Amino acid sequence: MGANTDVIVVGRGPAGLLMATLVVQHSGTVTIVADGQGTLPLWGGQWDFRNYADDGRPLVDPYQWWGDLLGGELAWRTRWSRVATLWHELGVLESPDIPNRNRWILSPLGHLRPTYLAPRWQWCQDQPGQFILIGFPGLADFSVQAMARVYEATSGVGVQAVHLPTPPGWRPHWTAINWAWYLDSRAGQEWLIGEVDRIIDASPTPLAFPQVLGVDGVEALRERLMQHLGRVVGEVALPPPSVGGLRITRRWERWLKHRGVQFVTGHVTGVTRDSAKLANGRQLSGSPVLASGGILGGGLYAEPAGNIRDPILGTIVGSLPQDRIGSVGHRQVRSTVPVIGRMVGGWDPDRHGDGGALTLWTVDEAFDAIWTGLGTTEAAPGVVRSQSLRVK
Amino acid sequence: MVVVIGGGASGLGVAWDLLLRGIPTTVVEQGDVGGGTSGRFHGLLHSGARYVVVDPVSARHCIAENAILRVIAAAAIKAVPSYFVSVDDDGDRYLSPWLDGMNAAGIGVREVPLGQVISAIPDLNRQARRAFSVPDAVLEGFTLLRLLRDNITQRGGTVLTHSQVTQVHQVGGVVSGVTVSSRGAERLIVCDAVVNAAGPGAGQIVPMFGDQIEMQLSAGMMLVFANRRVGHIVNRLGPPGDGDILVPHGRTAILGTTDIPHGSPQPPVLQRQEAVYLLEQGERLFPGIASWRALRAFSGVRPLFSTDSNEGASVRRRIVTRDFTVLDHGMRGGVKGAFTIIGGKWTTYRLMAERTVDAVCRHLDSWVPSRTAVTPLTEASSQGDPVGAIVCECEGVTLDTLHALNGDMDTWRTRAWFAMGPCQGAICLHRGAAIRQSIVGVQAAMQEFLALRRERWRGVEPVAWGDNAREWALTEALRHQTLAEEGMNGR
Repeated sequence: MGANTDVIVVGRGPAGLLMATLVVQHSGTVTIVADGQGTLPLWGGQWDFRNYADDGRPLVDPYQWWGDLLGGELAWRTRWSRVATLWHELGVLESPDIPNRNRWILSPLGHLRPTYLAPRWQWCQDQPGQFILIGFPGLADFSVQAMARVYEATSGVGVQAVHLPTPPGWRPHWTAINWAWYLDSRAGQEWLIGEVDRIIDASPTPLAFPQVLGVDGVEALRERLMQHLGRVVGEVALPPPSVGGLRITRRWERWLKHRGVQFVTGHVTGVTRDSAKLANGRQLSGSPVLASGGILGGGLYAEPAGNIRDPILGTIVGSLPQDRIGSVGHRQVRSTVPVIGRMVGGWDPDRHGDGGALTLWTVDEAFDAIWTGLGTTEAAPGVVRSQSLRVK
Repeated sequence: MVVVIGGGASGLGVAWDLLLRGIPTTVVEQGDVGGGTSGRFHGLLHSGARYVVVDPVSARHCIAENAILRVIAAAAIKAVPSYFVSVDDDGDRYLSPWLDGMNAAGIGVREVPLGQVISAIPDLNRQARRAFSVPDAVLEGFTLLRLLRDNITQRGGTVLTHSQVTQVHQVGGVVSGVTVSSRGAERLIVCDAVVNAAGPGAGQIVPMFGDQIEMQLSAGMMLVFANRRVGHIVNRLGPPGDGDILVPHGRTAILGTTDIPHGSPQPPVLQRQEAVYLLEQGERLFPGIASWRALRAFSGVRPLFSTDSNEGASVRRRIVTRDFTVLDHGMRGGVKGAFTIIGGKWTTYRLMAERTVDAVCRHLDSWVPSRTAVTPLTEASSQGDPVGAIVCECEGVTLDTLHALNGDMDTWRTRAWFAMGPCQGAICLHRGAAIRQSIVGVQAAMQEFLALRRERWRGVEPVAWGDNAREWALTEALRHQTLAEEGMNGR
């Protein structure tokens, strides 16, 4: 037998980290076991609620769309304030009041798309308006001229595009991550502020940067830019590896480690209600929660003949091509052991833009299932024992 | 002037042969060069070893052409060790007739110690019994098509893409010209002869020549694996069958093929069932192949043709000859000066072209011998080391390279291998769209982008398993979320 914690979270994507967060916030102990990095650095850091209606049109009011589903408005507000509070603790600032409506963010193609909760660094609009796109040399994911053309064609508002020159030491292979590390350095920050000051006009028009304004130092750099240039500065999230998700992952995992969460690298081959078995023979004891992901996350395996298998539970949850690859997953949270994440419930998070909400909801459900075993929603340190945390 | 219908290997081969004999020519291709069967094969330059028992004529053609192409198209041929491996009783039974056939066809064959082969190819079936080295090689189809096209245009030939011959004109029963429709506009090309080299589509052209032919089309599926797991060409020794050949191609390896009767010149919709079947057949050579990372499937339509229609239906398709036929429609009661080249293989395209142009010369009554066998295809310009920002990371394609190609995204794909790597466009297609916008505008660039996205999915979908399924799940999430690529409508 190995580590003994109240809960074993399998997987370290957003669902896994959120589950661990909830448990430690209720004074439980957690082991997170995963065989790779989580999926959070694939995305820009925004947290979707419900972006599109069933017919594909963008949604303004996600609360209205959800109505009484999955607990209704009160439950959703509680869930969202949990994320907002956590982000505050992580230093990922969001306004203390959670938003009532979706806002618009820009895609690297120049399309506007809705999202719900976004970090302060994210370039957001309530409605289409003027801004200046700042192009970075060699950043193929952020072609400012093309974005400006698409934005103008789809929103009717013309925007400017300007280009930065190359800084000393730049190489053509630099990706967003290289830029972000460079802009964490003092030299990079001085260079950026100097150059941006030089190439833009004196208007108060907001600036839209690619999401490269530093990894750990983004808030400080953004603040300096806004002070110096006297205008709003925001970032557009880019395709993976995405700096926004990377920032949150680093802070969040550090936060969890400071609260005693153990991170184990390993491949889970099987679970019971009170243990998890690893490929290297190690056994962990505690109540497992599967946050191992769908096909993308690696928690589900698509077999050549088309069956979609959960290798840990040994169940088949769907089949291709009958199921859509973006929506196939477990149908319910309360399985042999709880299963959490955006792919649970048979929703279609890619198309509907509700992956964040599904993560929140499934984590809630799984936490409930575990906490019901305790017989209370109040937990004092030392009171929670692994025995009482098991799923009924 | 001779008009050639079809811009695949045989059509371009005919045009090149004509030009070398001093005959002006125009190629009319309905899509892009290599958009048909020539762009959809396993990449094998045959030695003929596959055909020595069932089709000795083709085998002899193959070995002769193999030697010629290595000289005239060296840039498109990659010499890699090639083996026939016996893995079961089928192989052992086939051995003796096969070796006899190899001797008769004059194809060099040498037995290789099994230990040596297995240490070179760790993935090979450990139950393998015997292995023989043969002179197969890798033929890079798109490279050879580019060489042909470049040399044709340098010699004053014309290649019209996205164009169709809609009518053949005649004077006194002899071809006098054709009407060509290009992107909505029609024009008349005056000519003395027409060569139908439309591959699987040849049967649909022939009625314009006042003739009818019966095609025997068959579709073959191939699977592309994301890594060059095996650096050698490996054939399973036995009668030609399904899933019995693996060809390393660039950074990938291609498993071929199936052989299914097919009614249309257009490739069939790819089925997962067929991909799985192919994989199972591939297991006989490579028992772990199901765990290799599949990248995509594709399918080509073989333009087979049986001169004896009674025989065709009753014989197994593999036995239908891979030999080719030149039809002189004038001799068959149709229009004089109209010819069809049908059947054959990529490897024998040059010979097919030579025989076709021989017939055309007889019709034109001006005999000049073919020079294609002794005239190397020259590289237009050697491309220097790629510099500039990288657009497609899988294949290392840079912005400069794409600008230099001066074509649409599909041209980038076939020429620079853009979006052909493990991510199948997940990370690079939107970058390409941004580049194209400045040239063709927002709408056209987005259409090109979404069309290529769909084209990639068609090949990935039937092999969406394991890591490949994971990659595609990433693509789906990315295109809906990060890129919001369908914009606000059309989701």
